[in-house]
Amino acid sequence: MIELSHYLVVSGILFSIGVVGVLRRKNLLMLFFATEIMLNAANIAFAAVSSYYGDLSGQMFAFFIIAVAASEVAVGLGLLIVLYKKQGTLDLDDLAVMKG
Amino acid sequence: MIWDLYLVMPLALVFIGALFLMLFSLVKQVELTNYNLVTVAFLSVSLIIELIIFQNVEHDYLFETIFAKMFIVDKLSTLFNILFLSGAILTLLINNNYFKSRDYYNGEFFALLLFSIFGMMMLAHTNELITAFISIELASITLYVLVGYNHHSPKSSEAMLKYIILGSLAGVFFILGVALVYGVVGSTYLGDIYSYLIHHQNSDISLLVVGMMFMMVTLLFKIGAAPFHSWVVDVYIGSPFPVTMFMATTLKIAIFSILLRLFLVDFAPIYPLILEIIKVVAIATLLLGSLLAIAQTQLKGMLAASSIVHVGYMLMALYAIGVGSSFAASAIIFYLISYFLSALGAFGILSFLASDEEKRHLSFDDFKGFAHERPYMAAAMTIFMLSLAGFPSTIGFLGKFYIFMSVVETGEILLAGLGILIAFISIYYYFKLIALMYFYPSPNPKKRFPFAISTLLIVGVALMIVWGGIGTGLIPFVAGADGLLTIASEALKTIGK
Amino acid sequence: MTTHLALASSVIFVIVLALPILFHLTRYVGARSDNERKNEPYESGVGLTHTESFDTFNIKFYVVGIVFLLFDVEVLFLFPWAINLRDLGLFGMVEMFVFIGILVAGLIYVYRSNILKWA
Repeated sequence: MIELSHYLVVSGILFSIGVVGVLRRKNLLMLFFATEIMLNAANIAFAAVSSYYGDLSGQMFAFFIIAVAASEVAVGLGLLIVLYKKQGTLDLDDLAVMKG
Repeated sequence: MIWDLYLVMPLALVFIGALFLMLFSLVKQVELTNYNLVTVAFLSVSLIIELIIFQNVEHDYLFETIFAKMFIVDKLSTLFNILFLSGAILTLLINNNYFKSRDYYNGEFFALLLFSIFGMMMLAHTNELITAFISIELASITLYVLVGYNHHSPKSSEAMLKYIILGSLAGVFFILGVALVYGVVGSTYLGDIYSYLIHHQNSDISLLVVGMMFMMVTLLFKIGAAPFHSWVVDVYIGSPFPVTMFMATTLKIAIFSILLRLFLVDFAPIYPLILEIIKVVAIATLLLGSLLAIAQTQLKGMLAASSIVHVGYMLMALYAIGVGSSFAASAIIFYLISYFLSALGAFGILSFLASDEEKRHLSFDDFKGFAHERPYMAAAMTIFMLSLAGFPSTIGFLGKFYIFMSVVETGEILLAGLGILIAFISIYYYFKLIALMYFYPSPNPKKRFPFAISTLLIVGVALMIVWGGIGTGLIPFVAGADGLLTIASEALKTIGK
Repeated sequence: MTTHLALASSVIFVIVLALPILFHLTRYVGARSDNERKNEPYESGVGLTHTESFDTFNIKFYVVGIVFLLFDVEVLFLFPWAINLRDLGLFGMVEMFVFIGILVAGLIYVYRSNILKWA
């Protein structure tokens, strides 16, 4: 029997995959992928809890999170184009100059 | 319904203004100053309505039949909205010269700024965690773009890169925390979480506490508190002056609005579990921020690092709230106002100089002999530095005084002592600038005081700081600094549970 | 109610300790191979058909892609609204028109900034 806790654990695992992705990946595009994974982990948790309580608002929250994620990625992709046009690379080690 | 429409007016005006400017920016032959004036006009009307609302509102929900209790309107939210709006107006007007001196500003800049303020105002009104998340994201996504607005400068793009990656990573923690809280409580309204905690005192709430910790991570990141402060200096240095100014003052207040609301309403039953963390974070923020500030060579970097230290003081007061101080919450609001004025003025002078002369970096050395070159500006800068350092007879002193008093009231003498020690350390990097300005000969001849809207406003802000510091004792019947404290505590009373 | 404690600690354990260690271990455990064949995109067993996959496209594609992404996602909100249209009544109708109006304002902005022109 699959219970709420299983879903939450799945969401926790997905979330940590995302965290590791952000920490380990060096390509800017991959970083955005990783944050998307983390947002979707939260979506799974919301949908599971929503069906557990029989309360539809949780699923609405998931919609809003998708919309927020999309706008964040749109801004991120815009930045990506600017950086690639200028520097010709998306590797984080080459892009970061300042240190503080 | 009519009453609700009246309450929603300031929010709606800012949003309509943002849309209008977005479309208006397509008309290419409009001068930049006109965009600025239109933006300021929208913000001013909104501010006036907000001021009237502040007199009349007690505790209301916006369109309760439709939005349930998602948006709360009380004196606290209105007070914060007044701060956002006046912060934005001052930022725009003080930077008027700067906008004209750079070629990368256009109408969209002002539209984005308005969207960001709209997000912050929503954040002050929010009574529900998902709304809080959306408002935080609305405020920060627009700021990501604004940080990278100078597309000629690689530094600006890099600041945006750092801010967007770390910011979205931190934002995700908030939403996971909300999901966990929702899983336990079954609702995301602030009041429901409070009543759940009250009614389930003996049951196990670890999942809820973990969720709240995740939410705290995001909020601490956005205000730039200790373990998450590494982005602050880079992003502040990299972004254009108006944006740095806006972030350092207005965004910080916005995040504190939700932090205070969460802390006073939701976290009240679990203070024993989280207070130690807050204390450690506050101490670490004070120490690490001071170290960073001492190491900076650029003035912008120093102000950025010192903003971390100021957050540390406010976290100290946040700790005092939990221990049971009666006026720590109003002390935080007062400190926010005092820091807001001082930082606005200091960044304002920097941005004015950057627009007037072709000095790009503004390091400490550029200020050698500044007092002989521009005596009035130097005097204003001295006032801002004194206020930031917490020198008596400025509003900054009163802010620090109230915070330390609230900490002492709870019996945490050691913590208050550390705060005072940090304040003494901060004298080093603030007074370095004052010494450089006054004790070196000037390489350039004396210049006349330039009469412009920017400079007049800077002088006005400087006068306000002095008036806030000593005006209370001198002029009776006029609400001075104590009046502000009364207003803050009045606002906090309407928060409700 | 010890399930909460177990769940909370497992979430914390998984996030803070187990997974990072596991991911870190993958660097050392197991064979590592890196050759040209491995990095090729798999295309139904057929060898590489044309140039590299990291070919550059016209920048217009990216911008249109971003704009599409935004407008595409906003349609999401129409579905729950359409289901509850009768219950929401007049206010729901007005509300959605306001929402669409905001999107149209965005579309006008995109159209007038010549992003959709292919010349």
